[in-house]
Formats: sequence, C-alpha cells, structure tokens
Amino acid sequence: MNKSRRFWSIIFILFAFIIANRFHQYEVQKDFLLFTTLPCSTENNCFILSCDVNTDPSCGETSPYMKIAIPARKAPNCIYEHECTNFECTEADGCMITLCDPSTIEDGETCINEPQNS
Amino acid sequence: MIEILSNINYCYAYFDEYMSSDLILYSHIPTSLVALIFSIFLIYKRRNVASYSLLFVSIFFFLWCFFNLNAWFAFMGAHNTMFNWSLIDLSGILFFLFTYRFLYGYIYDRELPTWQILSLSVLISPIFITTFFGLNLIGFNLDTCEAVENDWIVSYAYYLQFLFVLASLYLGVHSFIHLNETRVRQEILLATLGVTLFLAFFTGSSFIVDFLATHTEISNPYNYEIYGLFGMPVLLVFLGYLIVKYQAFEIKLVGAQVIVVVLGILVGSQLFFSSSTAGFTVNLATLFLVLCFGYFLVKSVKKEIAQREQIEELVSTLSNANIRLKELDKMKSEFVSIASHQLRSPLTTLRGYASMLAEGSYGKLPAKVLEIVEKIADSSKFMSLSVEDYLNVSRIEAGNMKYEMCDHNLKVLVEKIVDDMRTTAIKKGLLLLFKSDCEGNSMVHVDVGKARQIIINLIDNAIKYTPKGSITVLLHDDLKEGTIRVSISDTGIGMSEESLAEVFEKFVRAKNASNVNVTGTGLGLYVAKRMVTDMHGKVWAESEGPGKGTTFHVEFLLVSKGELHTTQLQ
Repeated sequence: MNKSRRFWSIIFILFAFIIANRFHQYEVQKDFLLFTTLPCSTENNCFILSCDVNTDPSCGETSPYMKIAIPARKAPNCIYEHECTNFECTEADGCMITLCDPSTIEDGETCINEPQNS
Repeated sequence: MIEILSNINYCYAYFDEYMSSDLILYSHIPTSLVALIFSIFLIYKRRNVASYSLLFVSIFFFLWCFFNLNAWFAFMGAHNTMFNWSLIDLSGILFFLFTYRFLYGYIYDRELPTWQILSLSVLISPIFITTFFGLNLIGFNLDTCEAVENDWIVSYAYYLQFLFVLASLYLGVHSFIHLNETRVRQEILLATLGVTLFLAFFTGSSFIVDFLATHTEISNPYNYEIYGLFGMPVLLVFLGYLIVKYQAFEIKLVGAQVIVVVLGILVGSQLFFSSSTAGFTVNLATLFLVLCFGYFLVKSVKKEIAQREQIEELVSTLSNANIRLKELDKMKSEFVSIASHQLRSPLTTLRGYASMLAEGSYGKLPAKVLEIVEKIADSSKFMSLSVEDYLNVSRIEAGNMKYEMCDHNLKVLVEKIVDDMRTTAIKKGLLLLFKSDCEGNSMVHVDVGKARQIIINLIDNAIKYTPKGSITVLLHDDLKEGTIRVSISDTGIGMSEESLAEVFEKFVRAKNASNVNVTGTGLGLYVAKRMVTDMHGKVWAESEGPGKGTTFHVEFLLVSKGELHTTQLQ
C-alpha cells in the first residue's frame, strides 16, 4: 500500500470512528447541554426582550425570563415543549441558571432591574 | 409522516412555519442521489484518481446532505439534531478536499503530491479533532431549535472551504496557462469552471446568508443556504458536457443518453413529492413514457453515430490512399522526366544524322535506302515529340513549367504557322485555309513558344485526323469581351459526345482516333489545355458527331491599348 492510499484510508477510518463517537455521545448517552429560557421572578435580575413601544404593538406583552442550561439526559420532557410549570433548576441536576448582567446580555435583550441596552 | 415522527412539537411548529419541507427535500435528495449515481457510473467505466475522487466527493456530499437534512428536522429529537449537526462541517470539508483532488487528478491524471497531502492533512486536522471531541457544538437551543455552534470552528471551516475554492481556481488557471494543446486547455477550463462553480455556490451561499443575517432585516435568512446545493448539478452538467464533447474519462457517451438520463431523474424525482395519488400516477406514467421514448431515441442516435463513424473511417482510408496515389504519381512523373531526358539526347543525334543522310550530305543514297532513312527520320521525329510531351507532363505535374510571357501579335503568329504547315497539308491532299475577321490589333500576352506549340499541335492533329477535305483556321476577336479566339475546324473523323468530354484528359484519345492514326500518346491535348489555362486562356472542342469534323477553339485575353509588359510565370 503506497503512502497516499494509506493517508486516504486513515481519513476514512477516522471519519467512521468520529461518526461512532458522536453517535455514542449524542444519541446513546445524550451527553450535551440544552439551552432554553424559563419564566423568571422579578425579584431576580431577569432578562426581557427590548423593544420599541412606538413601533412594536406587542411590546408590553413580553415577560421576564432567565436562561438555563441543563444536561439533555436530565431534562424533563416539559422543557422540550416549553410547558414546564413547576420545574426547578437545581445544581444537583447539573442545571445552571444565567441571570441578566453585562456579561450575559445579548443583542435585543434588556435587564429588568438595571436596564442596559446592548 | 413528519407529524407522526415529531417529538418536539415546538420545533415542528417552528419548522412548519418558517420553512418549505418540500424545498429542503428537493434540494437534498435528488441532488445527492444523482451525484452518487453519476460517480458510480463513472467508476464503472473508468478507474483513475479523478473518478475515485469524484466517487468520494459524491459520498461525502451525500453524507453532508443526509446530516444536514436530519439537522433541519429538529422536531425528531435534540439528540438526533446534535448528532447530525456535529458531522456537517467535517463531511463538508471532506467533499471540498476530494473535489480539489478530483480536479488535480483530472488535469494531471495522478495523485496529489506528498507536500500537498501533508499540508491538507494539517489544515483539516482541527476539524477532525474538534469533531471527535465534540468541541464544535456547545449544545442545543430549544428556543431556536438549532444546535449552538462553536463560532471559532465554524469560521475556520468556512475559511478552509474558501481556501479550497481559491486553490482549485489557481490549479485550473495555472494548468491552463502552462499547457499548449488547445483541446486539453479547453477541457481544463471547463473542468475548473465546473469545480469552482460547485464549490463557490456552496461557500458563497453561506457567505450571502451570513451577510443577509447581519446586514438586513430579512427573516430566517439561513433558509436560503440550501440553494447552495444546486452547485452540484452545475458540476455534473459540466462533467457531462466534457464526456460528450471530449470523451473525458475515455467514455463514449452520446448527448442523447445524458439528456434521457437527466430527464428521467427530473421526472422520477417528482414521484417523491407527489401530494396526491392522481399526481403520483401521472408522474409515474410520464416517467415510463420518457424512459420508453428515451430508449428508442438513444438506440436510433447510436445507430446513426455508428454509421457516421464507419463513413469517417472510410473517408480516412480513402484520404490516405489518395495521398499515397499522389506520391506514386509524383514518383512516376519524376521517373518519366529522367527517362525522357536520357532519351532525348540520342534521339536528337539520330534525327540529325537521318536528316543529313536524307539531304545527301554524305552522298546520294539509293532510292530504297532513302525511303528507309526517311522512315527513320519520321519515326525519330515522332519519338522526339512524344518525349517532349512526356517531359511537358512531368514539368506540369511537378509545377516546374516556366512561361516567358510577353506581348505578341497572335494574328502574325497564326498566319506564319499556317503558312509553314500548308506544305504538310498539301502533301496529304488537304486544303489548309487561314481567315481572320479581327478588328483590333490582335495583341496577346502569352509565352510565344508555347502558344506556337499549342497551335501547331492542334493544326497537326487536324491534318492527322482528316482523311480528305479541308482545314480552316479562323481568327476572331471580341473587343467587348477583350478576347481573341483561334478556331481550327476540320472535315475529319469528328468525335462523339463522350470523347469530347474526356479528350483533354491525360492519356486519352478519341475512340475512333486509332482507326486513322495509330501513333499518338494521348498527351498533346492535355499539355495544350494546361498551358492555355496557365496563360489565362481557354481551350475546348466541338463536334457534331463522328464523321462530321471537329473544331478546336483556343482563346486568349487581348492586351488593352497602352498595356505592354513582359513577365515570367511559373
């Protein structure tokens, strides 16, 4: 087997190996993070979508929210459908809450307690 | 079916609202399948670096389409999307890599150089490593139903793709400039264009979509990314054209075959998207008819091509035979020339001595001996003239006949010739007359020696082939047309229409000529015609039929007043 054939064979083997590895991690172990938003009590520094009252009629209807990241294998089904009512994000489940501050704010968002435009 | 499979209704609603599932399926499935079938067909016909590379291009392109299509269907599960999404960049880079290898293999018909393989492996290794460890994706965003990508890896993959586009373009242009053969250059140009368009479509669509997303208010700009996939059919069209036009990959494919296959695929792909039973049935019937008519069309075209190839082969064989015949003819002329030159010298000596003997330079000869000597003189004269004819033919055919052109009075020339030959005619009991109705000065621009030879030859022929009666030489000019014509009419044996048509051909004599005169080479009139034509004149013969006499006409251009010149024509 010449050098170039060996190289292309390695490429194919690596590719197959990577597919197997990704399948195992994502499909079997469900080892990845899910990002979503949950309703947020205004006691916390929540996010809210920034909008212009003059141009956007639905501006007043936006609710405060917080961002959460949770391992997929520990996420309840309601998370997927955005229908969770009593879900509590706890560190024990590996769930992480992100509240609004200058380092977490993104385009189009505002903090409810200390309003800061991005 | 999609609704049944969906397990994240939120994502299904998102997908359903913002994207046409038909367009996603149509852009991914037929495109990748056609590419795969095309490359398998190619590998079946010819196996080399280019065809293997194209097979891998189509495999990785198919995988890219598969992963991408699944990634779109986020409602089938976040884990499913994560798995498929994680492999998109890697399969994308791999089909870019193999596309570059395909172009290199197509141009040079060999593997990539080691330094390029090593460089490429270094460049693609970050994609392999990050994909292996799952560093290219951060997680799954349930709000947008998309995987969250590592921006660094996405940008790296994007720039790497752009690098492959530039490398392919450079490779094609570099080869195009450095190769001399026009046909190969055209092939390279088309292959490079096809490959570059394919890759540029793909990379360009990402670039445009990114631009739209960041600089415009267009909603869901990433939906337009799928149009980049249509670069693959563009590449296939270019490759199909290369195969039909240049027999690329040494495949002899008829354009009709390609058209039928493409039509079959297009109609066949409609089957997947028929929304009703009636629509499916109509599409199925159309596909059946297209394939049936296509089969007969291809069969008929192939038959015609086979016939055309046979004719081309025949033409080629005949052309070669013709070249060989011309060579042989030239060799023959050279041989005749050499032989004739060698014959002429002894003949001149023979004629000279025979003439001197007949004239009594060595004493009076007895009557019987004189008769024999005269026969020797006549025969040697005939032989000498024949040799001269042979020499003229070989000169004409070798392109060595020279003409000393000058202005001369044709009337004076013809009148002198007639006077000189009258004795010969009288000896045979014939009347030789000269008439002229010229109105002009009768000046022509000819080689006098050759013009004399032509007219003597024609009058001599008239004497030979006229057993009784007269020969009339008429000079007539047409000042309006600027021509002057010598017409030599006899009351001789005449000629059939068939003989008239070929009497100026080489080695051809009128069919009844040998009844009157057994000698004759059949070259005199051929030589005369060539000489007259070379001097911008015309010669032809007329006869009302055998036994009704013949008229030979020789026509020259008159010299206009004040236009006197002397030139040499070769």
